[in-house]
Amino acid sequence: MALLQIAEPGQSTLPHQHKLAVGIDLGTTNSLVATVQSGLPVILKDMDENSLIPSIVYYGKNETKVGHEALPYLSKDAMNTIVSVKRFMGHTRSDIQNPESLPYTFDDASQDIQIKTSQGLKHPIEISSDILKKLKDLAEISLCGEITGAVITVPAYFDDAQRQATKDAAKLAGLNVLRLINEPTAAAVAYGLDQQKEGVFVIYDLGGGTFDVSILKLQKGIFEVLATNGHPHLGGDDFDQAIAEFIKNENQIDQLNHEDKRSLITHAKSLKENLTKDLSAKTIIKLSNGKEIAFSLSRESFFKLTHDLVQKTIQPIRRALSDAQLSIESIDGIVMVGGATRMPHIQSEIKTFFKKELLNDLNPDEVVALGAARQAHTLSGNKSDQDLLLLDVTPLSLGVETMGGLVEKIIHRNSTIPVAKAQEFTTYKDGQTAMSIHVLQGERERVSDCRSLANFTLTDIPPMVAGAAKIRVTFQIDADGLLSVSAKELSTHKETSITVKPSYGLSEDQITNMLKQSFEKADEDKKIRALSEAKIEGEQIITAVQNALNKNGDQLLSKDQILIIESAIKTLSSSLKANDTDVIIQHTKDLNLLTESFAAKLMDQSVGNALKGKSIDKVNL
Amino acid sequence: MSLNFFTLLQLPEAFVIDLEKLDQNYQSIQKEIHPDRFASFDDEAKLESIKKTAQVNDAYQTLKSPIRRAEYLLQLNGIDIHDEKYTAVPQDFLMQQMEWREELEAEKQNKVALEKLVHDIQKNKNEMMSQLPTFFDNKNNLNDAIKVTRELNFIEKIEQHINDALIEIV
Repeated sequence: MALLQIAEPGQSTLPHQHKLAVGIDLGTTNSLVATVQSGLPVILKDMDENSLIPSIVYYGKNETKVGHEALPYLSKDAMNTIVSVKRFMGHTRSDIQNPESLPYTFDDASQDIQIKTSQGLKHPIEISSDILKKLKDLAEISLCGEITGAVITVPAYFDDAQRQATKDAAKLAGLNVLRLINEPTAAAVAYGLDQQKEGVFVIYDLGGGTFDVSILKLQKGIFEVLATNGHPHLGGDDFDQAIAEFIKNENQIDQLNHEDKRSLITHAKSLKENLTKDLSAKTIIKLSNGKEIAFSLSRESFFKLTHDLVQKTIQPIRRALSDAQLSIESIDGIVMVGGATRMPHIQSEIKTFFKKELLNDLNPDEVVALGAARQAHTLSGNKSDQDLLLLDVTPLSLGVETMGGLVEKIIHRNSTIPVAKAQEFTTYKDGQTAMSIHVLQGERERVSDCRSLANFTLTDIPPMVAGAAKIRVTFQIDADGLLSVSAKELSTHKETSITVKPSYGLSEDQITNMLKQSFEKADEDKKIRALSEAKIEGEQIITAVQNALNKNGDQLLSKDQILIIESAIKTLSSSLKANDTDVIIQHTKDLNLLTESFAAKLMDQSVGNALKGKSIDKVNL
Repeated sequence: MSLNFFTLLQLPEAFVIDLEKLDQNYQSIQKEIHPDRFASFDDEAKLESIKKTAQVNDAYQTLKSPIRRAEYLLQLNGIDIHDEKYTAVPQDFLMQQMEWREELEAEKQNKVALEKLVHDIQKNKNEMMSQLPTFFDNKNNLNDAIKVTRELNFIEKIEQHINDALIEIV
């Protein structure tokens, strides 16, 4: 037998040209992590060969358990075992419907959702980050190396606050987020690339707690989302809930403790799953008071019971079709994504609606993570799929509050991202020097019906008569679907300062503090981490600069400039081999300084190159 | 106006454009400058890529829609159709508008009636749209172009309202 080669801990067995990038499907009920190996996306499994990791976190006094290890605590210690935390992401306490039906105790002192556990208060972002950490560890063990970047999927219908919360959770878990991508788009990537499809496709994605529908045009590797819609709180969980309610009513049980409620849901879930293959299913539920309930359910009554839930998915489909200006006849295929789409009545309902067979040959639980892995592979610079490009849209309109509590839309839903729109504002009173702007997301006309994203104040406006100052505010949504705002006073060209106070989630300071706390546990750990972070950053910038040089360097820079940059790259790469964090940081800074202003030139050059050699019939300038 | 959308997408500045070429040019540019192409670059390059891509998206969406394209061409001629001086709408068009709106209100639950209404409006819209090329061909007719573009804006809105109503009918 040959000797086994084992690399130094923390170091990849592979040379650096292949970056370990993963795609993560952070689901309501289950999460998965996948990567591309030898050109193909694969789901990574834990030691016990599990690919689906339950999105459950147990906070015991001295231990945190995530995934399968947390499962037993569901019925033992419901209060400290958090499930479906995704439903809380980007929300405040007042958003929770029926908090009394949940086994958790919420902190009354804060508007934010904070769950009291035996480890103290836990914010949904922290809980999600514990799930992400678990997936990161799983991937690093399975791949024997450090993960350099991750693509994380979010429901297409997630708003800005929910996306930001997801990104913060990833940051907290120590993941370098390459991109947030929409779940249905990720699924389309997995389908389109595996099957070389072209045309217009509907992705019907019913997960554990969210419903998305996206309409995409697939053409020569470009995945262009034409429209997306969805329901923020509709998923497989609701079908379990419906069965559980039914069992309760049929058996006239009303007083149940939280552990019994959880156990009822678990039984309901298994009935639902069994009804996918069988015409009827039965179960025996043991309550904590010793009482046993034998219950059986036919497929027919299950369909009747949940018919309304299935119908709730039809409206979003119709809206998406209308926004994309497409008829049912112009759809080439329907892709079914998410474990909940296994339910036979969903399949038949959607088939009837579109009058077409459904595409469901890939595992609906895995397809999102597989697509995300592909995108992570491309984004991290591992060359392949160079023609793959995702053009996604923003799911909700963005606007500002105007007089009378109404919302003026600035960016319309289904605009291709990145998108930037400017809006000019003026003063209402003479000498006014500040202005408050309230940013909202949603389709309705009234402020109270939309989701408040941020309140910010423009200050230092030069005092003038009312209506004279002109402030241009630019709202930008980046490729992650995240909003940023900048403002400029036009008469003086003064950039006004903006304080964006997020209405939801954690502030930058809170995240920094949480990160600090988790690092301070061991000082040595912290030093190792700092070194490893400096090395990763150094490597990243070297790749970045080399990419830029290879792309258009010779057209934008003189030979001397290139030589200077190349020597700075050499200096930095040799310092990466040593272990002095400060030196690495210094050399990284040096290289950064040298390549400033290169970016804007590069972009203009790229536009030019894209169209070079194309014939133009007539140009009127 | 910092950058001409037609120049950016390398198309002749005209109302009638080659839509296939618009798609092709848009996709070629996207493949080069989209933020996904700069995921492993520094923050500055990332930001520049977002800005440029947003601009290209804006240009593409504007030129793709005939009504937005008409508005934009007028804008290039120094005319903002949303400006107060153009708010006057001919009496007959106003009457027509009101009739449509009344019908929408009256038939909110009637799928067949609404579908017929959309069909009628679309016929109207297409007729108006077919006049635009000549108006823009000869810049002397810009006043007609303003009138028709403004009216198309109204029509587009009512069409949207009818479609919204149709979606609500189960």
